[in-house]
Formats: sequence, structure tokens, C-alpha cells
Amino acid sequence: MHLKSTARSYSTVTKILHWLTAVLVVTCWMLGVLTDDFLKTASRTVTIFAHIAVGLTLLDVLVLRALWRAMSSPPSAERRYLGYGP
Amino acid sequence: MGRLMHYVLYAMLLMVPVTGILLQFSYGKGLPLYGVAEIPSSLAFDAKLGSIMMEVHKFSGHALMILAAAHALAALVHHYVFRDRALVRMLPRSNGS
Repeated sequence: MHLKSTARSYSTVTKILHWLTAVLVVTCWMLGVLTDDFLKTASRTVTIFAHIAVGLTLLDVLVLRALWRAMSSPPSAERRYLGYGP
Repeated sequence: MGRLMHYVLYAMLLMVPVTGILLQFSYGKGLPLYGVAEIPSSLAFDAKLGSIMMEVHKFSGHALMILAAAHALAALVHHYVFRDRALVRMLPRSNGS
């Protein structure tokens, strides 16, 4: 558990927030597509409710990410390749 | 290039829930907070605005998934082609020291 991001590894908090975002985005998207394209109107209530709950959690995580980003400094980017990079 | 990608990802991450909340409100529906409470609609019923928000919500949701896939692919290119720590440093096991 380390709280400071370095060029070799992001902080534990950053990693948790990043992977939590990934899981929530994919889950929310799948619930959205399921509701929109695969279910009949009658059975949409549950998935829409879950979609909104997961989406709001995603918004919470996004706020936490912004706060964490403001509190800590991200590590420098990788060196330039093919003219791209910082 | 990574920096631009990150800004677009953050923009979409914000755009998707904001348009989702707006579409719910413009259809006159409240926002259920995990089944514990509900924020009542703060907008007047407007089906036209609702359908526009629905389209933007869906489009930006799909865009977010495509961008996330490109983001993951870029991480793999960094790992296997550039052979740097761009991917490794985000993995749970990586160590800062």
C-alpha cells in the first residue's frame, strides 16, 4: 500500500479508483444495452434501476478521482515515442 | 497522445451521467438514489429535450466504451511494443520503489 504515485507505479488509491471506474463503466454500459435492445418494456424496470444505481456510483467515483487528483500529483508520463507524448 | 486521450475519456465519463440525469428529469421522472431516496424532477416535462438527451446519452455511452477499448489497446501497445511501464504501473501488484 503506497499513497504516492511514482514513474514506476501509481498509488494504491489511484489504482483502486481506476479499476473501479473500469468495472463500473462496463457494467453500466451492459445494463444500458440490455435494457434498450434486449428486454421487453415490462421487464425493463429492474435493469433501469440497476443501471441508474451503478451510474450514480460511477459519478461518485469520478468525484473521488477528481478530489484525489487534486490532492496528489500524478507521475510523469512515459518518454516520447514516434514524436508523441508530453 | 495519452494526455489527449485521458481528457476525452474524462469528458465522456462526465457527459454520460449528466445527460442520463437530464433525460430522466426532462421526461418528468425523478432520480432514484439506490432505492433509499429519490430526487424529484427539477425540470418541466419536455419530451423533445428528453429524446435529444437520450440520443446524446446513448451516443456518448457507446463512444466511452470504444474509447475505453482504445485506451486498453494503447496500454497493451505500450507493454508489448514500447516495452515500458505504462500498463504495469497501473496493475495491482506493481511496486513504487
